[in-house]
Amino acid sequence: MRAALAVLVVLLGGCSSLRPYPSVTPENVVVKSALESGSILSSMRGSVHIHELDASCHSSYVGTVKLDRPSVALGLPAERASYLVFAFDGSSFLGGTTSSTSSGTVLKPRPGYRYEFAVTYKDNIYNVVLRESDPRRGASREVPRQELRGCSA
Amino acid sequence: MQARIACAVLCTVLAGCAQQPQNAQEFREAIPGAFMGKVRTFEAKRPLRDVAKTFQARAPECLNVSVRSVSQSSTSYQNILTVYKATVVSNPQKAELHLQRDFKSGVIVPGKVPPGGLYYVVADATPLDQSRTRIDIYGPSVGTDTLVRAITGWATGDNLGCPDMTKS
Repeated sequence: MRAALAVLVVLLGGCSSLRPYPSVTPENVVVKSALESGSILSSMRGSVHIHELDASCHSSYVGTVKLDRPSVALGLPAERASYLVFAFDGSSFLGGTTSSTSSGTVLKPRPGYRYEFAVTYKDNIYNVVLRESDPRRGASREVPRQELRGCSA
Repeated sequence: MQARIACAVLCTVLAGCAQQPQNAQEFREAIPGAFMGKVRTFEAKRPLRDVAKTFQARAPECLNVSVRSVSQSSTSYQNILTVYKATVVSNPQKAELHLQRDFKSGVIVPGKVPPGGLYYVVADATPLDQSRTRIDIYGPSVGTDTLVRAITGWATGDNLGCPDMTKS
C-alpha cells in the first residue's frame, strides 16, 4: 500500500513540468499583481513563466514564479533577453472546468535599471503593464509589450 | 464553460441555416435580424483618432489568440480549438474592428467559412464631432459580455485591459 502510494505521488509529481524560478541577483524586477476571479464559485491563480532566449530567439524554459503575493521580486540577467509569459489559470468549483489565458513579452534588462510589472485580472479582463526606471536619475517610462515574433535578442 | 461551448455550437449550427456573412458589411446587415444577434451603441467622449489608435494598439495584442476549451463529463467530452483574428481598418472618417473566429477542431461549421473564420464581432467607430465618437458593436447577444466590455474600455479609454477570451 505504501509503495503504491509512493509510486502515485511520483507519477503525479511528474505530470507537472513546472519548476520554481531560481534565485538570481540582483533582483531587478518586481511584479505587482491584483487578481480577482470575480466569483465566489471560481478561483484565479496567476503565475509568470520565465524563458531565456538565445541569439536566434529560441526559448528555453527556466522556471515559474507564482503570483500568490501582491508583490514578488525576481532577478533577470541583465543584457540578456528573457521571455516572460503571464498566465491566468481559472477553475470553477462547479462543473470542474479549467481555463487558462496568457500574455507574453520579451524583456532585455539594462544594467542598473529596475523593472516593474503591474498585473491585474478583474472581471475577466487582464492587463500587464511594464515600467522601466533608472534609480540613478529617478526617471521612468512605460515599456511597450514586445512579442516573441519580433524578437531580436 | 459547457453552456458556453453549447451556445457556440448552437449559434454556429443556427447560423448555418442561412448563408454565412462573408465580410464585415454582410455581418452588420445580418446581425439585427439574427437569432441572438444584437447591436450595442454608445458614445465615447474621445475623438475618433484616439479611439482608432487604441483599437490599433490593443486589438491585435489582445484578440489574436487561440483558445482551447475542454469539457468533460461522465457522458461527454468536448475539445474545441478556436483561433481568433482581429483586423482594424481606419481612415479619417471611420475606424472598424473586425473579430473573426475559426474553429480548428471540435465544431462542424456548415456553409462557406470566409477567410480568417466566421465573423464574430464588428465594432464601428464614427465621429459625432471633434471630441465625441459613436460606437456600434455588432455581435451575439450572449457570450460576448467580456469582449464587449473590453472594446468599450478601449473606446472610452477607461480600461485598456485585454478580455480573457476563454470567457468570451
